[in-house]
Amino acid sequence: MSVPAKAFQQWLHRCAPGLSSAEVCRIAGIKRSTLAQQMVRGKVSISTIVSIARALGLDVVGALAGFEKYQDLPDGAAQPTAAELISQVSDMDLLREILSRQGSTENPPPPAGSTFPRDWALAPLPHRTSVRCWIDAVGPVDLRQRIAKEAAIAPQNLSSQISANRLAPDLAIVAARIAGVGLTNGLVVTGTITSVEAGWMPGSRTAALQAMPSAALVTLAAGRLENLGRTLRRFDADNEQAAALWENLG
Amino acid sequence: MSTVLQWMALAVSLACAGWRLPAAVKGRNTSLFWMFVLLTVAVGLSIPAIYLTVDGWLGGVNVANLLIRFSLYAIFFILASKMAAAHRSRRSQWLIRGPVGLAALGLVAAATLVFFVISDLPVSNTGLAGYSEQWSVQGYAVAGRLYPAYAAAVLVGPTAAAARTAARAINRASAALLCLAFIMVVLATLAQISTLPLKPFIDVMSYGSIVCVAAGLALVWASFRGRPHAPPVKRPAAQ
Repeated sequence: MSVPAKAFQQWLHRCAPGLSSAEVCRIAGIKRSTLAQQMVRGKVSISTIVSIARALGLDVVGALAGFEKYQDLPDGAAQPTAAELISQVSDMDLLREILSRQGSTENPPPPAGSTFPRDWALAPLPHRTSVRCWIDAVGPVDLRQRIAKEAAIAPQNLSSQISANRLAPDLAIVAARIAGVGLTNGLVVTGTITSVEAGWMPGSRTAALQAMPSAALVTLAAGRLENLGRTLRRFDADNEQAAALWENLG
Repeated sequence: MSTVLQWMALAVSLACAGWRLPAAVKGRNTSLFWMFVLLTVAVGLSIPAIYLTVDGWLGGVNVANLLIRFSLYAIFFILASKMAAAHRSRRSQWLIRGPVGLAALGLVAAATLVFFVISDLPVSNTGLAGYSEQWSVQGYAVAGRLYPAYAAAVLVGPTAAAARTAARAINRASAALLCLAFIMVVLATLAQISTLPLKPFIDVMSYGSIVCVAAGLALVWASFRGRPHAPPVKRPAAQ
């Protein structure tokens, strides 16, 4: 989640020897107070390093590898599996794909083996449930427990992060390591780095989606809709609870 | 310590009544305003200087103490009814406003009145401390504790559940404060009527519960003021 301030200073001195902290903050779009606070605490966040690396035009994964705890990131990077790619297609894009595959007299389904014609682009990453979908796609069934054990955090804290579509970068790397997938893939689904920065092939999500059999696509979409329904029901219940509280005690 | 707590609780009660006044004038949750007015009366009358003066006006035979008791019953009935509805606990609503709850309130009120009438209380005495050797006064004291403890015990469950599950942190915090207040009311009663080693903390728990209820309701009000207009919680977009 963070690197020691001293290591950050050394890295910054190597990458941008002539720039002051103020200039670095300005070009990276970081508040000076934010960086100052991180330096005082002695821990600089990954997002700060990523922002600076982007501003300096550096390879983001290579920049992270300049720190001891992330030095194996480039070697551990790998193209995402088909399951990972599909997990990063949003619910609405799955539904759109299903609709676009429905044949009609004007638009009959293509013959088996060919791809389905489409004139729309997938929503950008990450989507509303990127983290949960990725964890479910890559993991063995006990992945969450193993992440919590490996990272020595309470399982409830991990669940809270996943529910909020967040995952600390260190946990994302731990998850990828346990699941045996590319180490940078978790950073993509959490929005820490982009899929381009992680070296994903352009259009790979679209290709994976197009290659997915319709039956599997519909089954996946049904599962996603069920999860969405659960989330909406929970939100409705929360709203009703808050409304009752305000009505009686507000 | 006790005197400071008493005056602090009186100030909090009075402030709360003043705070609820504008909403009451607009017709919003007027019972909460009257609850705080009654709380101010009850807390004020527990302070010797105020008690002796007011009881003097009422004939000097400790009717003011009876006024405290019935104010407390009304306060706990209003608060418990509102809390049970606010936390959507049907069981709690039934236990307060249903036949069981009303019977409990009626019995305790009747017992309080009977114990008061048969006691010999010729001279004003704050908290009836000077008459505590009379069995009827002891019964009167126990009866006075029973209904508040019953109502508070009914509310511990719903507020504890809300403290764990409410979506907003501010609502969880308010539920936790209210839950703490009700636990303190129950413990204060247990301390009075049992041999548990809690007697030194009775005052702290009694007045602390008032402060916690006020703080919990203040947080609900802050949450109400800061609510989004519609819907209360932003629904996640079906992305």
